[in-house]
Amino acid sequence: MMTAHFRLGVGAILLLLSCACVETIDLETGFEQKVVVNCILTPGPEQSLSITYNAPAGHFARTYEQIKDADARLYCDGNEVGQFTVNKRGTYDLSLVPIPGKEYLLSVKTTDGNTVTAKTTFPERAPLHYQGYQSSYTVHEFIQDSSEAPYWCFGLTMNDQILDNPKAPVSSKEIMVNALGCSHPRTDAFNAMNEPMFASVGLTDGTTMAHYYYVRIDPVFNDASVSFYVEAPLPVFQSHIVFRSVSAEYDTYLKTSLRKALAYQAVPYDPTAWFDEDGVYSNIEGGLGIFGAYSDQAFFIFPKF
Amino acid sequence: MKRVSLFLLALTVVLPLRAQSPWDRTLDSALVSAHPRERAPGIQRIYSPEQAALTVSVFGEPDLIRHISSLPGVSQGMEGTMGLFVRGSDTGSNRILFDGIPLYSYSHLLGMMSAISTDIIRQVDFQTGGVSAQYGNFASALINLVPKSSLQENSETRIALSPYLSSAYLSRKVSDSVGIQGAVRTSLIPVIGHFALPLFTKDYSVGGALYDACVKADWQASPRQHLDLTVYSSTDAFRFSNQFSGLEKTWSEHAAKTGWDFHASERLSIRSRAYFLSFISRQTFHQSHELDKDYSRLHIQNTRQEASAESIAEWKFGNGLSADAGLSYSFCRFLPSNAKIVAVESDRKEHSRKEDLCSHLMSLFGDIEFRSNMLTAKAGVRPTLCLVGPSRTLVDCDLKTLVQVYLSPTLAATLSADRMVQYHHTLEGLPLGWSLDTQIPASEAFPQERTHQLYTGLSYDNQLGRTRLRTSAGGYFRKMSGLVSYLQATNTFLTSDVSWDQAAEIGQGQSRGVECSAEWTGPRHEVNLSYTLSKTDRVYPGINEGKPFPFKFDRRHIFNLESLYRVTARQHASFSLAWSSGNLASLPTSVYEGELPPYWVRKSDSYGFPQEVIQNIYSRQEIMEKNSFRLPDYFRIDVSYTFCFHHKKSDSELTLSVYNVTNRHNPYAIYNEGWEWKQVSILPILPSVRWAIRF
Repeated sequence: MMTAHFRLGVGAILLLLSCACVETIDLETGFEQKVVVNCILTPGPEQSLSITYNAPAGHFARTYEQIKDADARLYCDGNEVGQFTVNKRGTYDLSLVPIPGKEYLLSVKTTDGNTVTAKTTFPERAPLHYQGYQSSYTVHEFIQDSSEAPYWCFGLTMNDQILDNPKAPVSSKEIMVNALGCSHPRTDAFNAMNEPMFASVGLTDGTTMAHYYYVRIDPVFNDASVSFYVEAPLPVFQSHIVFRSVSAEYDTYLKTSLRKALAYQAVPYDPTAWFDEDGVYSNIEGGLGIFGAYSDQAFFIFPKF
Repeated sequence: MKRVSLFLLALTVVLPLRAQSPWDRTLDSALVSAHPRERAPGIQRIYSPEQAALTVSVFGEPDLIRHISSLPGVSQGMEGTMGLFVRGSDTGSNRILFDGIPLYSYSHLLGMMSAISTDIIRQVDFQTGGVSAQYGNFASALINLVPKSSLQENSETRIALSPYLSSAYLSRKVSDSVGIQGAVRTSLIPVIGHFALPLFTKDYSVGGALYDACVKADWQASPRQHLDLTVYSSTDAFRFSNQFSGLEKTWSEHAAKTGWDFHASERLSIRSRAYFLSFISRQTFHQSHELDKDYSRLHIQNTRQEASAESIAEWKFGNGLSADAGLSYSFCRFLPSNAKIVAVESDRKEHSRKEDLCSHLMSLFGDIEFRSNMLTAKAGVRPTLCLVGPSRTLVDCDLKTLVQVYLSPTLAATLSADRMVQYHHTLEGLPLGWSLDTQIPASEAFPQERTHQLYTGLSYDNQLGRTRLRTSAGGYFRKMSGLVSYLQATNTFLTSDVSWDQAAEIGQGQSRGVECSAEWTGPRHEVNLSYTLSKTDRVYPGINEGKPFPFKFDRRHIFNLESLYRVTARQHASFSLAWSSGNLASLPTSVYEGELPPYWVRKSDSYGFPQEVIQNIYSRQEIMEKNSFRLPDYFRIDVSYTFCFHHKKSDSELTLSVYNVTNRHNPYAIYNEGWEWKQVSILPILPSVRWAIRF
């Protein structure tokens, strides 16, 4: 990929200029066991919660030690709205349809005496209107009214299957496209690829910067509407463009997580990774993880007559 | 030790490098400075290229700017770079002048050597306080590289050849009133890299060019009028590519300056000068789908263009009283991170992001100075009006005061208070101690940088028989505001962030410390010692949750020793020692389960991401408090021995030197890989042989 190769270039220059030596050392950075809570409120009707312990630095895993006997409750406006119950997978479930604009408080108590809490506000959906696509059907036009919440955009497509219902929801067979571009003036470039859309396949249509998987768009606070377009390989009758409005906490968590992961693109040759000192946002008081919320709008790609 | 660059090791054995010259062996303290009371010890230091040669650089070349890292109050950045963090300020807060021309691109090879030839320099003034109000638009230290005058020097020719750096210098008197001198340097390192890389890999190629050149002409038009013209140019260009993609990175500075001095009388002088400079940092990425066919090309360029004119009148009233006053105007044009995308070469479809920011700086300034046998007192003021863009006006003022009381013929007390203002920002955040390429003007979102500083100290200067001893000890306090930093360092490694305004933050800093120095010179020896004890903090609203944290290069203790001993008239030995506390870092303390990004398990392509990316998608790393881990101390000893030879028509010099003679693995970075902690060290023991000749 473009960025990795170019960083590799600079890394090679540095190595050529120096006698770099890498050796293993003894180091203790002070591990402290903490409770990790991950819960993202969705439009519903089921909410999911995961409670685990952390592990020492470098001990990456796909699964961590689960806490299956915690007392996890959700509150809204000071009132309890539900208690999570553990399931067979070791995670927790709650039947709840959140209310946009309301602030929720999550409280988790473990049997060993740890108590962690977090707050988030369920976001309103961004006021977006699909205007259709250009003849190449890789460019899709939208209008956005003012919005105070950031949102993320990504594309889903099924390739070989056709949906004939313009109101078809996102199918379980749709997969996420690996790049998209956006002309919105508030587009965040943190995950930009430094190449235009479709450059790698030699097409001529790309006029926006390609982004890895998602485009993040900052809030727009004025009253004027914004016209913009999304560029992505999304064939008509097969695809959705999804706009995910997120709570502020979830937004920061997503951005810091992806930004940190992308810093390792060209390991082991890229010296950038040596200097990675950035943490990922967490709003869990007394612990680690994320308590956030999102609300999706999925626009089916079809001709507008 | 796991990896060694063999070709570099081979180069260090066979190099003729220009270093100290036999003709410059006389280290006369009078040559280095004017009357000792013309400078305030502790805050104003003057050194010559010969003294700068006491600092052994990696390539063996005397380095005028790197020598500053051995002075009190200066914390170096990462090893091998040219970050100069003076009293806790950023590198970009310093002002480096060559013959009155600001140098924004002052180093070659990513900071390995400075971009100015020592042959054309007479002396370097390094000032951290009490600076004349003639100088403005900086918030930390002034580094003034003063060139030789072509009219005062004997005709001279110097040539040096080596794979690292080849140079030529010429000084000629065209007539009794006209003189000209020129210096040019270039390096074969990019060429060596081009031929050496295939030894390691066939998949990539590398190339480039590196040079700096300067021409200065002096004309004594009349006994009272002197004119000069200086042209300076410096370029680093690197190219790296494989079969389908490539990167070109270039940074350069080109400047021209003219000056006019008029001595109206014994008491009145007028000096005027004007310059224009252009500083460019450019990256070009290109990608092809087929061989030799560009399908996309992206240019990102940072530019600073500056035109300035100023005029100064200096009066000597007599009885120790003097004053100066003047005005200056500067027009600065900034084009930060401008990007241009060409989608397909044949189609020439472009998508551009252009940002053109201009500022006008208009300053009045004045100094008044009183000198007597008991006292030196200076005060300066520099009000500035800064117009940024069409509608933003900034008004601010520099204030400089300095008082020196001579308690005895050998003992003096110094007190200085400064308010310094800088009207542009060089974005900090990169942990490599480089001054980043992206420069922006002060604005409403990023106001001007200000430093308030107080210094007090004692100094001792005495000739003891055939030796001279100069010592100083003092303390300082600095408060800084308007510091701009990137929120995340890793994204700025290539300074390719086209959304710098989204990624930068403004904050404050504070630094305090104690500085001591001693210089002991004699007919056969010279010893310089310096020690600094300091503490520096930063606070940014968006970093470390808005809580204060230690500055990355807050090295608590910094000690430097440099010495020279003349064994015989034709042989001398040098020994230098550098020891400092390690710089600070933020390391991971744990890992934990992460919340996957939306639809991550249903994505169409993984781009062949390495395992580390996937690990950081499924897991998160808990990082300790910002800059709460101190790396092991930095320690290095360098030694050299020089033989001087006199021939009929030339002089030559052979120097054997060893950089980092103890082969200490000074940590460059520490990171976690797998379940192990790894330490990266660069620049181990590096022997070299140098041969220089003059005719």
